[in-house]
Amino acid sequence: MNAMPLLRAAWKHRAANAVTVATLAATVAVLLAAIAVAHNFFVSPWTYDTARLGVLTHRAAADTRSLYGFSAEEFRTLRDSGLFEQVVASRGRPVAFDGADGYPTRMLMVQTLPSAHAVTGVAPALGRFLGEEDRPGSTSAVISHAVWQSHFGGDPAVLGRALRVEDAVYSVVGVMPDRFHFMGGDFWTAHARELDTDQDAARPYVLNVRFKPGTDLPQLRGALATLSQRLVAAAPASRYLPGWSISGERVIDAVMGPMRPAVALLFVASLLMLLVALANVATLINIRQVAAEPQLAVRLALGATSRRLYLETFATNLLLAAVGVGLGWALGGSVFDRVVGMISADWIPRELEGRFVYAGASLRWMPLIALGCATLMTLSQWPRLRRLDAQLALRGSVRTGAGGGVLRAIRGLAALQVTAAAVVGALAVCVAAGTDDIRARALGLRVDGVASTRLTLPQTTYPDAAARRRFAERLGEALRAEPGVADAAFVDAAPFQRYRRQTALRADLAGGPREISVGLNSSLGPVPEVLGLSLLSGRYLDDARDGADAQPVAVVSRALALQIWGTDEVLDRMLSLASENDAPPRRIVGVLDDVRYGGALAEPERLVFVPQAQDPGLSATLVVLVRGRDGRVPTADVLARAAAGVDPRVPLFDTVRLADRAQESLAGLNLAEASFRVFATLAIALALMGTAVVLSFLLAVRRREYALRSAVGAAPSRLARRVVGEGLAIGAVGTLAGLAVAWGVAGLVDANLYGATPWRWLATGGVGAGLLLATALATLTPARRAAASDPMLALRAD
Amino acid sequence: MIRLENVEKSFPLAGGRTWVLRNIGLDIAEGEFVSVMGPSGAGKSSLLNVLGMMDHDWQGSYAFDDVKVETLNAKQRQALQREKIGFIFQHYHLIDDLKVWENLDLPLQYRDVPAKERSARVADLLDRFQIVGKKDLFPSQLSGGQQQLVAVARAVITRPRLLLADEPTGALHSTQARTIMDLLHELNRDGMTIVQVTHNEPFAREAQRVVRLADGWIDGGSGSAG
Repeated sequence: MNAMPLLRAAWKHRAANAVTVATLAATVAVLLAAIAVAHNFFVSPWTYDTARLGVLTHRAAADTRSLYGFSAEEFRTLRDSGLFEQVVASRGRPVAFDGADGYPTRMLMVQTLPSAHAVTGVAPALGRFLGEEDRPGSTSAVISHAVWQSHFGGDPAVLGRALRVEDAVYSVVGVMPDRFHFMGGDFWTAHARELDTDQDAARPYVLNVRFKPGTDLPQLRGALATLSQRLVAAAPASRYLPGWSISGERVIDAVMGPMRPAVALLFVASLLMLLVALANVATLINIRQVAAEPQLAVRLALGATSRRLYLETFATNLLLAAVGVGLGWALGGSVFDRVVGMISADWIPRELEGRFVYAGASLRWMPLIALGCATLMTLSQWPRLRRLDAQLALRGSVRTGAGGGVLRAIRGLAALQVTAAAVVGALAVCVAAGTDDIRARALGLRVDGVASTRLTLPQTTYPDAAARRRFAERLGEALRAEPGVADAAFVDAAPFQRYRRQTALRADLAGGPREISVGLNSSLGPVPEVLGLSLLSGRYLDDARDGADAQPVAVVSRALALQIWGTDEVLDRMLSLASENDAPPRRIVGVLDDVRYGGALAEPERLVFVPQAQDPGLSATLVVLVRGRDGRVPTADVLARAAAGVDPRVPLFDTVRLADRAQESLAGLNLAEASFRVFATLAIALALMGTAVVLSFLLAVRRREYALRSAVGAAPSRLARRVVGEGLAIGAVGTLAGLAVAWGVAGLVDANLYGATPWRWLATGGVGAGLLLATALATLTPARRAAASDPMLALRAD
Repeated sequence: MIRLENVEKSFPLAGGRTWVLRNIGLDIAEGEFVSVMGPSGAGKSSLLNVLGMMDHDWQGSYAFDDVKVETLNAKQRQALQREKIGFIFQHYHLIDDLKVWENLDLPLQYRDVPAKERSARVADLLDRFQIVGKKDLFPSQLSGGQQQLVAVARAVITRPRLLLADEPTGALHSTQARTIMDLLHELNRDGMTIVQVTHNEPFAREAQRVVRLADGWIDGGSGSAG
């Protein structure tokens, strides 16, 4: 097959081919970006075996979220259950680590077991992982590739060298490969306690498992539910909340779950786009084929075999598809960057940080997509190619022709494009309206002008709650002394933070005791003033009054009060927290109004605030909330300067503006909304372009008919109206069908999109009317051409 | 060379049938030059389709070099056609996207002739038809006569035994038409069998025999050779 004539033929039909290539490029860009996103997020993120690395969670019936912590005893039961190939118990401990530049940085030390090696299935890059010889208290440490590079300069002789973490000294026994951050860690050491004998009921351990080959997760969950019932039956009544049960899932699902609906919708929208694009391309190439049929018939008469014609057709289509896919690939990079930018704004695992790669996955798919497009394009031409008859060459006429069936099919393809555009357009307005509603939800807290940061206090310098509280008090004073800072307060978890401190709350009611899982915050400073929380009744915690020796008190959120007591008038009622063991019950001194601490997508949360002074379990990791003056957010430099003034060895991390965090908490929704908006614009543009091309084609094949109508006295306006009417008929059928389909699938989208797609009759009606109007506009050029039909044409012979 | 016996062709129409060819019996000897004439709708093009093996939906018997065409399957028929028959069309039907030499090269490509031999044959024919100077032009850059000249060259480049010409001079003015007729005579003198469909009475009479068709029937007994 000679390439030159092929290129020449492609150039001859350059306008139609350019539209085909542009259509393919736009669709392929979106498709490749979606494939690359999915590949990065669901296929290639891990250094681990995605299918077999699992994590166990538990929750009580009334819990709104699953929890990760297990006790040593629960670990032993699960380890010995035979349900898994391997189980490992680990706990993370944030530490301040002196970086190579001498400044402390926050890192995560993970205390774990040798079985982590088998669970992750990853071999060290250097040395060994923790072994059986590394008993509790061992000084062996395995370091991450990043620490090896940054702290030891990638020294191959790093094994045996000392690693100073806070005041402890470890010996490096192994280096893990790049992108290994099991449990988000930077170092892995042995546990401080012997897990086989630990009887403490506290639940500090995260349990990761390696599933047995061929594990069926629903079946496994059934077995875990049975095992949970056994644990509950054997434990004291107060140990487990009602309906407590263990569950298991793949780690990839646990970390990617929140983004899944948005990415799934990205795919759905991509597929709808693809439908529009394919209908568009099919229309264009069939139009081209109808025009080329006399020539193909001549080729047949000259001896070309049908097979050869199929091959030539395929080669032409492959050329167009290759150019389209090539351009699409180039465009897809920026689409990918935008999508990743929106996703990573929320939260990504450390294994993926800065690792999003467009080229690899998309390049692999490119040839397949080009081949697939060319095949589909050729298949759409197949019926006409099959019926091609060499006798056409002898019929004496070189007139381009198309029968009624072809015209109906081409009109149908145009209507299909309008249908798909109407579906995407209608869903886009519904998603946009639903997203606006969600954004407008009252959070019950202030985000503007507030920054949050986190810090981890070294264990040796701040070994207990009192020492940590003293640091917090000094830091609070230092912050308030900064000129741009209006106020500062301390809690356990900032609003919108992914992981929070949870505990079980117990209250004695007339009908018996009632237990429920709640979010617990140790409070220091004027939290309501900083966060703009509203007090419904009573007072907030007072650091001076609610000291360690005073009566234990608590402030609860309205959602919690309603759920436990069925009323928000709960002042002076008593509650107990499971994390406080046998401590005396706390008296409720205040009730906060509803607050969506988890963000606009979350329900108002069940929260308990207790004074730091009365919290013996105060964590070494504190969250600092700082409100700026005049609505200005204090900068990270200001916060770091204040912290360094108190203790230069305490690094701050995760310093963010709450307004940004609030926006990021809606990343999935924002992504879906943006995707639908872009897809709707593209789909509508493509559909209108397709309709205009189809009308031009219909006019071209009936040129003689229009000339004849003109010759027998049809006024130009009448001819134009005929074309406009035909276009509007296509538009109306497509729009009505599209709105009906959109109405049918809106519920499905709604269920997958945080309830953000309520059906809006008015808005979708507006989309339909707009689409119809746009279709009418698309008919104008062909209508003008129809009006200018030359009656002389009817008199000329072929 | 060609023997048609009782060849009939019809279309179903409005519950009945419309006959296009009726009881056609026609012998054409090797090296003969035959003209087919008749008014519009007489069945000339249908007869040419049958002779050119492009139409297989007919009844009767058609022997080409003693091979029974009606017994061949589509593939065999196409192979026989590729080997033995060349076509000239009224409207030239040159491929617009191909240069003159590429148009000549095309039938050879379709017959899988090696590239070297193809270029030799194309060069030979360009020379013989005196169109070497036009070889890199596109059809749209040629006059009607020149286009038909190229079309004839394309039809004979595969050295067919039978040349079917559908109104070869129909779209040309008289001088150009004369040139094409002279060329056909020359090819016939070289031994090529030619069947031309024409409306032009003087050109028709230049053939050795004229077959007249009316309403699908052959007029008189002119269906036999000699």
